[in-house]
Amino acid sequence: MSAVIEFQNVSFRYNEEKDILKNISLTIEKGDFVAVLGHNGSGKSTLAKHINAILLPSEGKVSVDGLDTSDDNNLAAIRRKAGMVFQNPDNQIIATVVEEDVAFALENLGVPREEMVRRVDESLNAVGMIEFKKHATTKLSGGQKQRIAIAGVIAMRPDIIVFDEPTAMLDPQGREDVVNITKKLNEQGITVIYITHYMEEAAQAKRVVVLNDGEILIDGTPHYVFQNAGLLTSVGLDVPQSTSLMFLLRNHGIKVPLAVLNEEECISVLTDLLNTKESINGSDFKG
Amino acid sequence: MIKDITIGQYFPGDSVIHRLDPRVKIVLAILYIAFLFIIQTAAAYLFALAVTFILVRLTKIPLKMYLRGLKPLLFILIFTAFLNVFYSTGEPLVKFWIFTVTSEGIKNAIFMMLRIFMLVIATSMLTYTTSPIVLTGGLERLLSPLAKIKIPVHEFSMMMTIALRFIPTILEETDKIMNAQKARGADFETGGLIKRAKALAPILIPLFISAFRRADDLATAMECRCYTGSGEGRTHYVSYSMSSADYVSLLVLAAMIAAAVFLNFVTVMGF
Amino acid sequence: MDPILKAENLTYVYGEGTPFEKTAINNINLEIFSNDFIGVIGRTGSGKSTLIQHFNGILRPTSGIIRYEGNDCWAKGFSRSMLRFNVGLVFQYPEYQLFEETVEKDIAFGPSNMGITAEEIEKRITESLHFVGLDDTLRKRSPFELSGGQKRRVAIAGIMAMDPKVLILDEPTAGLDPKGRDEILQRISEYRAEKKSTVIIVSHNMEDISRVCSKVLVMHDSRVEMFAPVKEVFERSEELCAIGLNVPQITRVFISLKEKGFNVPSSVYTPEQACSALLNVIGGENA
Repeated sequence: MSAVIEFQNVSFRYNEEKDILKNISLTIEKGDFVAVLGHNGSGKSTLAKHINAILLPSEGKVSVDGLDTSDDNNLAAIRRKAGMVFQNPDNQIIATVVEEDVAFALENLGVPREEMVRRVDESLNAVGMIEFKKHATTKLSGGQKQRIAIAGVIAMRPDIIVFDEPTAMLDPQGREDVVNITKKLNEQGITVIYITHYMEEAAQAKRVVVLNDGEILIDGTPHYVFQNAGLLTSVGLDVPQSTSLMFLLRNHGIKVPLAVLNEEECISVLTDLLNTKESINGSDFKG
Repeated sequence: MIKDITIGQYFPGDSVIHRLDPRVKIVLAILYIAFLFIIQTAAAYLFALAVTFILVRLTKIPLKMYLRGLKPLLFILIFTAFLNVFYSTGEPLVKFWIFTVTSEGIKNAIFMMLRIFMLVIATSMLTYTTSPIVLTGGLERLLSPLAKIKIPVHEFSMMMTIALRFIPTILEETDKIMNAQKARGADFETGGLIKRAKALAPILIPLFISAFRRADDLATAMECRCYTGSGEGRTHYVSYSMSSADYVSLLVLAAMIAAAVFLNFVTVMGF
Repeated sequence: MDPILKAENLTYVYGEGTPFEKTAINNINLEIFSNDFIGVIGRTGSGKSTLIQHFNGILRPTSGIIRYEGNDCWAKGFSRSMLRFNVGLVFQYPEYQLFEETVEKDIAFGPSNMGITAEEIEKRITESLHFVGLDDTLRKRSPFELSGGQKRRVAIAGIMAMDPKVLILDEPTAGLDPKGRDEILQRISEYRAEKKSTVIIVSHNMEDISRVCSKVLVMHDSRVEMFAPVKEVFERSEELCAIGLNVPQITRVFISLKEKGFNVPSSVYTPEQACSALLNVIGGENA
């Protein structure tokens, strides 16, 4: 694997008072799925906006596929390589009709019309919204709007997509849809940076980076990161329910692995636990 | 009440009218309005009414929706009719106090009302059957020669597009904020002018703040999707190729105008 | 005891006579008693928001009656402005409705519309700031300088300052990070305990509801699907799952374990409940 995004000693501030990002160094590999966690105001959105040059570092350097984001000549190429999906579904839809919104980036890029038509269909299919092609964007649900926004980004055929809390304003159904689409895109080879404060969403990533007050607090696989429940709660975060349960069981002297993140893992651990108990109780009974 | 405003609304559909080239539709609408101002005789008005209703049927949008657009104009309609009835010169029919009702007046009033009525229907038809993006795109294309003399046609059209896109969102938001302030006991219905104007602050301030936030978000989102602010090098998703239907409609309208001019010379029932 | 709020065959239809006509709530009958702590759950579009906007007279029923302390809220002579002071409604994302120059002025907006004395208003500002856990020093600050979470609290304080008998909150924790979520819920619980008022919370998050509420109202397809004490509703978690509600991860785990034939309850919503349920089952050896 090769590095596709590189932060080298990046600091960022709006004014002299406070550094929003403090000397961040971070390398993201091609094809990775990186969840960025942090409480409100930890700097995670600021970090995201550096990836496609919406914000430029006050100090240090960010490069995307080898292109320095602070070089104006690279701007168009970077924006095309790294698409971005934002939190508020209402504020990122430009057109009133679904298909026209999906085509917006392509129009800006000067893509010929026949190619555009093909890509709009392809992108709408990828997010499962093809039957809404001719619908008015304002009449869609939050989750549907967010899927349209994603389609608008994938139409550019980016290598990287940055999701900045895409599910924060959605209902559970919309959230699930967005997460599933994100995973699918990653499987197809797109590098995903996914900012969230839903622990269960972060648990589905390949790598989790936790930010606190503009610094990287912990960085590793979800299994590694979520084992540090104490550290996470101390900075206003949480762990998935399944992980939480393992901690509680351990506190009661029951030996279970801590690296349990999702439903399947939890079910299998608990099944083992209940089965062994049954056999122990069974033998006790015989004895 | 806010929800009654139908201007700029679009009803997606697939009727003959929906499918017309937007440039043709804009030209047709302008010609049609001109046509409404040419006609002067009852026969011509009857003819225009018939055409209008046929067009309404063709859009497959219920007439009720068009009539809704008239609601906010009801006052103006009645007021102009009133003026026409009482302040036209001509043969007096009835006379009382300072008012004189003339047959000319009644005729003018009826014609004026019909004219406004058809005017509203024609403009509504344009926005109801054409998505705002397509409409502004059509306008941009029609006005594109002006870009050569440095008139910012693309910028203007993008502004229109965004304004139209956000009208429903902002209306919805206004409703939400009004309800929220009502829940805190705000009263928008009673009191004098100053009290009412003051009562608007709790709505307008959040609305402005939110509009600026949205504008900021949207600008970032547009930049992220490679928008550079100029129309140069852009392609268009919506294609504009004139079909036979477009040519036919232009011909039909030309024929209509000719017919109207002819009917202007025909008098019916003594008018 | 008479119910404080009562719905009789309550029906509301949006956009009657237009192509967008939709029945939002359909023939609802329910009684809410003083000091109830109710959680309302349901999918988007199930009618939750429409229902609660009838409780304070923002929406007028298309048919049926809504009663406050036995009186028809839409009868002649019934003061709906009094109703709105008695039934305080905090809308979703209430921070977007702040408008005054200072925090204290914004909180004072509701109470001053009630025509109470300046001293009383002053007292209520102090009290409600305390309830939402905001420092008194923030009083003179502009609400727009505060963080997102603090703004939300100011907005909630603005309703609490009206001293309503019923407090309704629509998704009070939406978009907050885990710590912010826990804190808001705890503040609301404390407020209720101290004021002995009736509280209704609308939420997508069943874990939140199971932590604080005493009764649950489940809306589905514009109707009341269930309305019972927390335990009774959550014992039917398989049914909740079946109507498309997003039950917590740990509940899904326990439903699966139950299906596998283990003798565990499916009415488990938090890791703590899960832990004690497991200890009960396997506790044979410790006992």
